Amino acid sequence: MIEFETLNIPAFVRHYMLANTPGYLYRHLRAEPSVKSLAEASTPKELLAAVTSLEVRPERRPEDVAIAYAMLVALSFQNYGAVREALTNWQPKTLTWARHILSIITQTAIVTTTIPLHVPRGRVMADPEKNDTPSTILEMP
Amino acid sequence: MHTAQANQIDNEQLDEISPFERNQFPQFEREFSTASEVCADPNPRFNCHGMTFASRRTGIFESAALTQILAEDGYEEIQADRVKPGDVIMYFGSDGDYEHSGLVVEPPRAETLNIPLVRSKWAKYRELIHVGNRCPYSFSNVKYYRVTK
Repeated sequence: MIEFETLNIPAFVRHYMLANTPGYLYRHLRAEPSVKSLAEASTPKELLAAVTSLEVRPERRPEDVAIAYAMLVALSFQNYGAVREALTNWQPKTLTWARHILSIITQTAIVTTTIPLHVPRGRVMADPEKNDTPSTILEMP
Repeated sequence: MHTAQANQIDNEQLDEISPFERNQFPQFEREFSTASEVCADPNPRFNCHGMTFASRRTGIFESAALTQILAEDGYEEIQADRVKPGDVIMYFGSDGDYEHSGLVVEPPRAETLNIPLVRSKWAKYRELIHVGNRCPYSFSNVKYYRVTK
């Protein structure tokens, strides 16, 4: 659930207006605490849907653009697998730097993979042949 | 627009400053007026890199384009103690992004704590002469360049 009243919109607009490059905009928006809060309070699909709704507003204002970029940057705090899945069917419509920012997110993403391990029950024993030095021998039940 | 080696440079002219954007400008003026001198009114057509490298005709936003310009126009990095007025100052972001650029007005010297006076354009905002570290861009990693080839 995106709560617009919690966003630091003046800061977003300031960064947007002073940005000479997409990298500047990304770094400064990412340092905004309310962008991280935005990421924690929403899913990638919700963020992208909100970006699209801001992009297609007939009377789009500069603060809408700044908020839309903040939402894209918020994706960088989320699980990259979920972000990648949400991006599968999403395209920016008018945001000039959207692809740059998504490219930075992709380049800096840390992919987390969970591998389930099934370890048999047992316990660590001392090895008599090594002067009872503790070692990782499993005694099976 | 092309480099000296006749390769195309990505660039874009913007044509609008909205009333909302204009309403933000007094805030910048309050924040930075004591350390800057106004040279020109806000102009959306060019950004800092457009002022530095494109004669104020257009904006240059891509890091790749700036790497290309430095290489293909024959720029060479100049050590701070050899900088002269008119050399380029480039501000780098923490990730190596070309965050900002401008032209040196007064070189960095020991008596100014190695901080130069710079003329630069702040995105859509004004073109200003400012103390090198009194601007919204990080002065912690700057380099100086001059065309030598």
